[in-house]
Amino acid sequence: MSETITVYDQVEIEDFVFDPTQRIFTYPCPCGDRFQIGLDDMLDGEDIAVCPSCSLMVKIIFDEEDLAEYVDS
Amino acid sequence: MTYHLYVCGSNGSFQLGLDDDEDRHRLECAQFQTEIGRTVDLDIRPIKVACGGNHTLVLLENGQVYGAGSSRYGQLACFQESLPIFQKLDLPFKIKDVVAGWNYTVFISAYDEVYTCGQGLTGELGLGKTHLQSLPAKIELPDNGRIVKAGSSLHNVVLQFENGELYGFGNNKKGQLLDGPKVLWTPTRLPIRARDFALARDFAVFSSDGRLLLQGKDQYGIAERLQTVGQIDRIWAMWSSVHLLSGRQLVSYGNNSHGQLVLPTTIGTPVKIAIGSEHGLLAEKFRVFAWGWGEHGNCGQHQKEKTGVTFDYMNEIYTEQHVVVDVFAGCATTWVVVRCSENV
Repeated sequence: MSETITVYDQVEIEDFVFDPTQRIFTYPCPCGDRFQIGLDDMLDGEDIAVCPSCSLMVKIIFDEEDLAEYVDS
Repeated sequence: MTYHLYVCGSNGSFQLGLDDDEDRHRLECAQFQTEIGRTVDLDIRPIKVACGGNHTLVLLENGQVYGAGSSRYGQLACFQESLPIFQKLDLPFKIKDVVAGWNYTVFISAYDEVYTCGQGLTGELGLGKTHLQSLPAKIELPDNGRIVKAGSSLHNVVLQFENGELYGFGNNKKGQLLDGPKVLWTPTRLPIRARDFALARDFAVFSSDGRLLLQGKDQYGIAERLQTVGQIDRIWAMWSSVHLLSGRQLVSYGNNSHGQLVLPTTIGTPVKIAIGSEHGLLAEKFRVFAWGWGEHGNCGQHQKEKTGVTFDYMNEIYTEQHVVVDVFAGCATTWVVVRCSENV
């Protein structure tokens, strides 16, 4: 059986680093890599950032209006 | 006397010092480039292993520091992009302590001067609004005598002076260091005095006047639980949990998504405890156990019928004949210092 998928933790949007070129938010993962989520995915309602190197995921705490400043950047 | 530094866990940036970037699920000896060439044998005892997100520093008893892993932001105080095995860092001063955060390093010299290097987007370097420092630069601190403890989390640092004063710098977005600005760009005296402290990712715990005080984000309701603790002997923090030794009891509070919290454990014999990003280590004289999130091999391989990345029990990862001197834990990395006797 595969491992049950659990969200490891919750992180506020203010703690993520935004890369305006790639339009992604990143935040450190306990494995050394970084959780990632695309701005466009968030505009579509996605709120889970995933780590490319492991199974951990974090839920991003944000309001839809928080995204406006990044869309324009 | 010869020492070995056994390692396992996350290794995507060569931070284990094994000359490749493959994760390890079994302990293996880290490699050092010394005057006599490449070796796993250390004549001088490693007294501290400080781990960043993707870099590692090993402090030897003689004040020398070796580094391995990523130095993309200068966090290993060298101009190479990365060091695949441990190399001696070219530091112009003798070091008595070293701590590391996500992409930065803090060196404390034998003369209690503090130097930082690497990347600090939210004041982690303590150098003002400098984001990048490729060679160690001295930070400004008051003349408060000796520094008796240095602690770090991903994005902030606290220094404790012998007079009891605490100075902090770096990320303060959750008010974890003090009630004030979101970033402390330079070392700032904290209003609290504490005998001991531990820094988690978004909160800090201070042991003051026999009580435990949590500052910052408390989504797991830890502060309330800490009020029930009687005796406090040591405190540590993973990124999202607190662990403390109360008499002979090891207890944990906080995030338990991956077995990070130990069941209250009575410690019989003298032990060493190390707490990493989301896993912990407990070492006896000849044995080492790991618990918590072990996806990258940092908790070894399951020895029971269990599978998966959660180690919600004490998994024995070291049973060899050498005496375990110390243990350290980083971002899904595990470090075991052993002393090799001559006739084994």
